[in-house]
Amino acid sequence: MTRTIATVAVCTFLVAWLFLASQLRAGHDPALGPASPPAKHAAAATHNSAPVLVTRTSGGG
Amino acid sequence: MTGPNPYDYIWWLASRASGIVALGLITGSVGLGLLMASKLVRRRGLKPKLMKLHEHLALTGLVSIAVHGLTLLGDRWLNPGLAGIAIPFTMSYRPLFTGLGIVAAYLAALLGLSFYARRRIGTRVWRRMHRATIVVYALGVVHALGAGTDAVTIWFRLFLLLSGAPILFLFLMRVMPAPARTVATVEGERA
Repeated sequence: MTRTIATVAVCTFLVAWLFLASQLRAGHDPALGPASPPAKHAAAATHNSAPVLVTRTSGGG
Repeated sequence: MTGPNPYDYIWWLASRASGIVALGLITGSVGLGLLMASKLVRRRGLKPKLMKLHEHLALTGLVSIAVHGLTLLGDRWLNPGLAGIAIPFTMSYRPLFTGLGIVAAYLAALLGLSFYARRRIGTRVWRRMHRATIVVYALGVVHALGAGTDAVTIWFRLFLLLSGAPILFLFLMRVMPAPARTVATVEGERA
């Protein structure tokens, strides 16, 4: 019986660890809060922004 | 959306997972103990099996509690140190609730392992001590709700509710006075 209970406990531990790890990876960890967007999305957003055309270099005119 | 790498938090996750396992095992052990004490189990030959299960759940629960505390030593963010996990109310993170958890762990070890010293301390004393095991469960739940990272999640609250309801029922059955019919019978006999 000891072996059975120990095996069940170890398996439950592993399942719980994997569940918590996947929760963390998905950005849903209750302590760390929502995930920040991945770097490549941020980079893509920078590339897609409208180009700034400089038409004047001095004031007036 | 992707979150942080779980391997950066390996010990913290291990502590949380072992805490969940420990609470489950202690819940099972306390529940079985109350079930046997309630005399709801009357089938011949079942009680010794339940007794064995109760004992092994408690022992595995004690190991899980130890793992729950020791794995925290590897957590770089919490960094509790040996004193933090061994001396109640000294950890910087939620000292009251982590302290109650440490007290519960010591009580669990004392009350659980006293079974093996019952001949030395006397069965009557051991029985009285063993009845206090419900305090371990209660402190464990308070610790989990107050200091547990997962206490805010629905699945954890559901787990506490579903496992706590039968324990509360069996505990009330145990502490409530004798059933009305017994009192009525005694009254009838007196009349």
